[in-house]
Amino acid sequence: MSGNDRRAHASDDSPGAACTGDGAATAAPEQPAAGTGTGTGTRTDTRTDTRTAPRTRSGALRVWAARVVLPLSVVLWLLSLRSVPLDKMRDLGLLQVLPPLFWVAAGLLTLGFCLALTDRRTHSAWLTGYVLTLIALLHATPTLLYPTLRYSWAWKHLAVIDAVIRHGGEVPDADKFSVYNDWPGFFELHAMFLRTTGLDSAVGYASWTPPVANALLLAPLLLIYRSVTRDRRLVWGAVWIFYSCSWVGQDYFAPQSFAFLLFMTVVALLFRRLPSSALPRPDPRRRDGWPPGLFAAVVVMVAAIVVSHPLTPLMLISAMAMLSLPRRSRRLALPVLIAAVVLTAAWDATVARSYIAVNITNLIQSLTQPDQNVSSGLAALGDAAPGQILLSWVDRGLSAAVAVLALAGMLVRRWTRRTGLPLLAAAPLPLLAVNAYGGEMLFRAYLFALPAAAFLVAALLLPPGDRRRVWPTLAVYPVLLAMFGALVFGYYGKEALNQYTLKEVAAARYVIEHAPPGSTIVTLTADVPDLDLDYEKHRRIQLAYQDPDDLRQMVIDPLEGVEGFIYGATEEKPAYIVLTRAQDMNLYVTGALPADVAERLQSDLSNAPGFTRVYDNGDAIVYRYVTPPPD
Amino acid sequence: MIFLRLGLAASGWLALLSMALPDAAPVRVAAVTAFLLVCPGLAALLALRPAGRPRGGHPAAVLEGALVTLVLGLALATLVAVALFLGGVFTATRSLVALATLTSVLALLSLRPGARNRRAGVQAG
Repeated sequence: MSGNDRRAHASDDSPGAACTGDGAATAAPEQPAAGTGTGTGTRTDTRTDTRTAPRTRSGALRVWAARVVLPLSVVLWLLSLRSVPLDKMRDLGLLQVLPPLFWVAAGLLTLGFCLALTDRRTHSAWLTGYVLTLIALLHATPTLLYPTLRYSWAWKHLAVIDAVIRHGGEVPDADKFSVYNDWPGFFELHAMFLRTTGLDSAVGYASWTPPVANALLLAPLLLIYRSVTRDRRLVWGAVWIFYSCSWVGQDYFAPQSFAFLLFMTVVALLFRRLPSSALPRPDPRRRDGWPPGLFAAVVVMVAAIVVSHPLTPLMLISAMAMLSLPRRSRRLALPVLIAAVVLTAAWDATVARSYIAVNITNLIQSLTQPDQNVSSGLAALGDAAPGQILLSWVDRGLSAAVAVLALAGMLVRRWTRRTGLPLLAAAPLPLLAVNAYGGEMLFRAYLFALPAAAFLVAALLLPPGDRRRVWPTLAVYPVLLAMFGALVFGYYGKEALNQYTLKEVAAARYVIEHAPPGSTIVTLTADVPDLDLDYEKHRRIQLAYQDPDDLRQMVIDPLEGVEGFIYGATEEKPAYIVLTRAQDMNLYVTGALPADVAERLQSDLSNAPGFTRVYDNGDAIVYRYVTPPPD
Repeated sequence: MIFLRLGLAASGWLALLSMALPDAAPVRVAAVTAFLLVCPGLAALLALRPAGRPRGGHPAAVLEGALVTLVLGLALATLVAVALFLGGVFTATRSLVALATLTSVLALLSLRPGARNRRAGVQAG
């Protein structure tokens, strides 16, 4: 430790000494004995005094208020879900249809959490209850409200599992779905589960993935934060901030949510074993490095990441490379880094070779144009609905605020620089330069940086000190409310197109059941639930994502634009045009095509030769097309 | 503890037995789900001792034990499924046999003579 660091440690605001330079020795004077690591970071005598001192009247009031507010918030939240007019969702999705009671419940919940934080004697069970209720309120609300699974990509993943089961593994003729053949871990895990239980489909439990995935993340988050500090207020504040800022929405039924849990577990196990960990060492005689058995377990987790998702192994490699830089974490991070590199290279050179070979050109191109990767996720919003433009700015504002506050936290709270968390927060940045990842890299980088960034923000907002200072803790209430408010813009703002009715599902089932192999299925956007079922048997065209020339033709004459893709359809291989409510909503909300295209197309199709309306249930219309014989 | 290990060793085979029930029968779904989520991971945790004692101890150790049990179990199940699918030999029965065998081996591994002393040594130090 440098002299400057020593001075910083002595005079700075280090809560419970956190991680102190190169060794645990310097941390010892401020660390309570092993087994009492739930302290808040003040010296032991102070802690004993405040723990045993009787509460003031206002303190007791706050404690009881915190205990009343939690169940009250749950009741209000559940009551608020009784009658939500989902059919009125437009530009701002759920935001504009959730009743005031929902927002009252959210506001009360946040207030109750702040009150609970002000008392250091609040039992962890209450804080856990608050966080789990926040998760339920944010992530179980759509599940409880919607009649069926939300989000087209979740439906797509159900289709992949079905195809894996039908084909016993690799799916032939997968076309754009072939990437799932190369990283099949998540899908084959669920295929195994469905086959062994005899369940027909994962749709029944897939709806609950967002709340469950977020609840599971609580364990690694707590382990990481508690390895860094004994300040419970800081730990739980960071947890709350993480969930209040995690707007990216990668927690649905998808390989990335599974791989992210594995990633976070590996990081948590590493932080727990840092020589400077604030938690009691699981193996006190081992100075550093992994116990062999645990390292084997970590390698198994890394292998599961590598076979499940293309991006997460790269994030893991980047994180471990960063954590290998400082000497204090090198002996833990380096072996994981080597394992991750070897396993990823082996997988990419064998099973995923076809995908890597095809995409290596794109990768090299992106290396030479890193600025495009950074900006590619921010869609042009020229034709988007007004609410979406606002939403986009709120998303960006929240992300920028987290970045700025985290940076400020690192600069102002100097002790955080010795924790490894700034390195973890910066780890996704190199990936921005090498892979656009379908235009999503910026958001994915935000997600992987957020666990560490949330702690740095919390360190800035909740400085350690005398825990009897109530007002500084309550002062973060507006900030937490603002974070929650910004989060729901990003998380709920596009629900108009992510939510489906049972009629839309029925229409898709009709098409899949009636379309012979080799048929062409045409939609305006991807927002049709279950239409990807049997994807290897059909050709799928999504009109809004074609070349600009085709799109221009589509806008001028929708019928001619469609016919250009399906001309030559026969009785044996007909084409189906599927128009649904959610697709209309997508066009209106995102402006991918002018919103009137759907209506004009429907009008044209009704009278066009070769097109027959074969299904109409109010939320969806299906046309069958066979090219008429020439006159 | 010995009963826990013996129970774990038997759990996979009981889950396999439940496959004789009709598709989606609640008992079958519950048995297989409980086995996949808990047993391979817990058996590995006991065998490898990555997180200290599975019960009691510091709350962080308990939390870590629970997390490793779940995540390691899912990781093992994923790798078994991928290996069987890649080999083109996947069946529901084979996948459960593989996981049940793995769980039994891991659960019984620490019952072998001398394991107790070595484990105690690892635990203490």
